[in-house]
Amino acid sequence: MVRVKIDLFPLLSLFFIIFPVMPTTAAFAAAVASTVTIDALQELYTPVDFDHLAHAEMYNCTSCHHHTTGTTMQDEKCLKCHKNSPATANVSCSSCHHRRSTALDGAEPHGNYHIDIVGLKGALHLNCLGCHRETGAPCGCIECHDYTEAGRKRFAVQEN
Amino acid sequence: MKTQTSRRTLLKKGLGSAAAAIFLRAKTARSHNIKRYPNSCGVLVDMTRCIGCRSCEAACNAEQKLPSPALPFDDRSLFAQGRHGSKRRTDENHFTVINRYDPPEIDHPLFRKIQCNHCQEPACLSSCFVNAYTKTPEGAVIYNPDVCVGCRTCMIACPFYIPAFRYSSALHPQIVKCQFCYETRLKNNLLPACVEACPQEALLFGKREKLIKIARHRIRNDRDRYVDHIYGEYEAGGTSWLYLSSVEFDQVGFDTTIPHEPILNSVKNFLAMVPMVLTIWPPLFAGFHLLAARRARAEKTRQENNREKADEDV
Ligand code: SF4
Ligand code: SF4
Repeated sequence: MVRVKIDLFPLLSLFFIIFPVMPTTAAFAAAVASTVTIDALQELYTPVDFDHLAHAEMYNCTSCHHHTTGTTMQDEKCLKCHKNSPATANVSCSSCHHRRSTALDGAEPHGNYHIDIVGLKGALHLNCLGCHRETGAPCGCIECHDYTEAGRKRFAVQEN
Repeated sequence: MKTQTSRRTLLKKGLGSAAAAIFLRAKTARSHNIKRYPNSCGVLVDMTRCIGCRSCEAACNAEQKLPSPALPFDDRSLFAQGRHGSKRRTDENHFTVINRYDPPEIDHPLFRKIQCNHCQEPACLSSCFVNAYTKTPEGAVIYNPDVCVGCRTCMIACPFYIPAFRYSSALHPQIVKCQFCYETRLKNNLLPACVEACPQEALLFGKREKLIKIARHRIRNDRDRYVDHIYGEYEAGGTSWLYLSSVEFDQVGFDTTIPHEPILNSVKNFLAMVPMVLTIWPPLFAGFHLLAARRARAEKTRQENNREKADEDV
């Protein structure tokens, strides 16, 4: 029992992500976080320095964020209830998408809504990769991540 | 006279073991009345999310301490191998595998993860006459290698061809398959290794009933993305692992002819015969043979006696 607990602990404690809260002021470039370091999954991969500014210049905030500052909500499904909802205080993905995702826990469902909230890792990959696949942007794992030593071992990749 | 006694003993033994076997069979049939666990867990595999990264295979390999693969897990050339013909299958060194399919009506490949589906009423379990298998309340179908006698009936019984045979140990060959990480994870309230590793959350762990609700919710909310079918909801009497797909399941390697009732209902009679054929038939038929031979001999003796008698009478 103890043996098993030990190998999960570092993994869970490393499922970590920091999305800075965006201020709603001044010029666009100054308002948007330029680089966001995503250091989830640090066990097998090194952290990703996500170029937030470059993406923010190309797309609407709501292309990726649900409730946010900037443009208004566009998702049809969300609009049904959130048409007049104000911007949320916290736009960090990790404030709603939790580190461990199972159908065992999760927010109280609202009728037919909020019953299938993906975890943090899923939210990031589904969001990023979903768009990358459509737009022909890089899609391979190590095009965004680098293996750590543990990662190379896990995937049986030879040192280069 | 001596020979006749030993024959009779043999016959008695034969009938005795037949009776014992009938009794035994009744007993195993009883213990095979599988309990349904309404709160058991499962995994929803959403193939529309899977990108074929094989992180799940790598995680399984590490968790189950399986031998290193011939090719690294990020080598995608492996998918091409199965294009013209056979796909990769689970075996004694791979408890889960990912295969690639290129259905013509969509513009991107689909990947199918294979592992034990952890049936609600497992055919492997019901077919095993030494009761090596257990369906746990958590939903896992596990087996006890110390009990397994290596008869491989479960390999024939499983509708998904999952249990594999490990030959590497000549002294103790045994059946191996995905155990839902029961001993190392499930039992300790941890997610199965493959589920935890999946970057796309194509694998969702939870109570089976809730997974079915979530699956329906996904289908309802995105009719263009999904076909209206949850594979495993009814197949083979229901499985703990469930699948969603964006094309009909037979196009991505699933057997859609699998009956909806538990497999064992249709093959039970045949499978019950396996131990019977192995253990009862030899002594029984030996007994019949001896009986027949004895009767023939008695007949012959009687005839000879009659003839002698007739000779005397003449
Ligand atoms: S998929 Fe096969 S091995 Fe797994 S529980 Fe069902 S019958 Fe048994
Ligand atoms: S880890 Fe997830 S996305 Fe990757 S191959 Fe396995 S099921 Fe598919």
